[in-house]
Amino acid sequence: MSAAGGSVSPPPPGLSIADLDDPAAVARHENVLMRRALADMRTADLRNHIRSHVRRMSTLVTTTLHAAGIDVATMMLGMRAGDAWSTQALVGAWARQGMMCRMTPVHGRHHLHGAMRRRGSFEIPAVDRPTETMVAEVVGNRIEFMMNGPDFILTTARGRARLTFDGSLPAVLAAIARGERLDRVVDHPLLHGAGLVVDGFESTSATTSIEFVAAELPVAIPEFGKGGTRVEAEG
Amino acid sequence: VSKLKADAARAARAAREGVMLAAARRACEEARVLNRMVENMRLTSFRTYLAATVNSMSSIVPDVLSVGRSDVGAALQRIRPGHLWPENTRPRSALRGSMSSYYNQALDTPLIGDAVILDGLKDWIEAVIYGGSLEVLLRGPAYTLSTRTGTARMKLEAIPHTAVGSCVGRAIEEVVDHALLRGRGFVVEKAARVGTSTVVSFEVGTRPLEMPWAWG
Repeated sequence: MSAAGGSVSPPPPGLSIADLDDPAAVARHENVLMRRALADMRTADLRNHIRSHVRRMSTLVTTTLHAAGIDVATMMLGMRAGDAWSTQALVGAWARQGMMCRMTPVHGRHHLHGAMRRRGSFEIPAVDRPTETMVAEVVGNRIEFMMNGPDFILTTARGRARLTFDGSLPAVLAAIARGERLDRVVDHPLLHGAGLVVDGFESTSATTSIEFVAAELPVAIPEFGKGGTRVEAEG
Repeated sequence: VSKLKADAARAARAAREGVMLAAARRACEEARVLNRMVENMRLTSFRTYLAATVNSMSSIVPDVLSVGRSDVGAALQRIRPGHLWPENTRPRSALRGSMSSYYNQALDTPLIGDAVILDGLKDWIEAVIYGGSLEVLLRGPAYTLSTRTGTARMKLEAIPHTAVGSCVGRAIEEVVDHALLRGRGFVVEKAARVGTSTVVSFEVGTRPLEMPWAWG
């Protein structure tokens, strides 16, 4: 097996020679093998899509990857397709934000919401902000960034970013906020000193959204190799 | 010139969208093929498991199935694995099983698979594999008849409390008149008021059963 493509799937645990006489153990074993094969085939499909279509990537992905000490090739290899990959791969733009709703902390950590996990995505470890989940996600021909915090959601779509948080702000503020520097409106380490400017502001009775330009860069697509689709680093 | 530029941009955008649409279609098609493949593999695995483990059915199962114009062979062909199979075949620890006899039975004979045989307006018939045996559920307008390893259970409209106790030991025809149960010598073993209904149970016995497909 090639070094880049990862190794062959390890044998599933818990099937000994004695178990071959137990139909239930055999059935469970077959089930594990089947699900594994399905996951591998989905991932192969996702890589196929990345190789032939993905051309651009949000710079927020690059920045956060860099902060976590991961390079782009590793991220591409770590991309996994969930069971909604094919049907929702191209749900674009802001529709994704609507799919994510409240996340509740489980065991002190915010869990990846289903809509984030079930499509082609890679979770970027948040180095010093354990309450936030960051995901690089394949959407159409781009790799977009998505971040879920305890009280906000940040998504990018086609070169723009939208930050949505709880609470309503008066319309007077909206007029002031538009054109204001982003780091003077929201305080988050990711958005510091990037020279970003708020150019959209929307407030409903429950939530407030801020929009700004989030740059995109062309992305180099790595050779995925011809080996199995499983990657050693997978948890 | 600006109009030409706008037209070119529009054409380019349309072309890009066309490419992505084709990609979406291809991805969906691929998913459909994968899902069908996995479903087939799961069914094959399931039928091998049934052939190895299922060996009996309650004796009134063929009669109930014939009400739905079906038979044992056809019902077995229609049965599909339940969503918890095969994980629910894992042996349970003694501790968990000892919580109550009802719970115990549910764990010892997990639902392996089922099929709806009849979903008419009046009657509903289900064929279900519990543990190692084929059982049925027949839901009529005013009653529910179900079987579990040789014991049938009939849920009826409530009869007076005083009458409940006197049902035990009587022939089932004296308690409820049902074409399936007439003249077969079934005797009520237990009767109880459960909520707003009365439940009577009686022994019907089991019959051996073999899967209509060969060993996989």
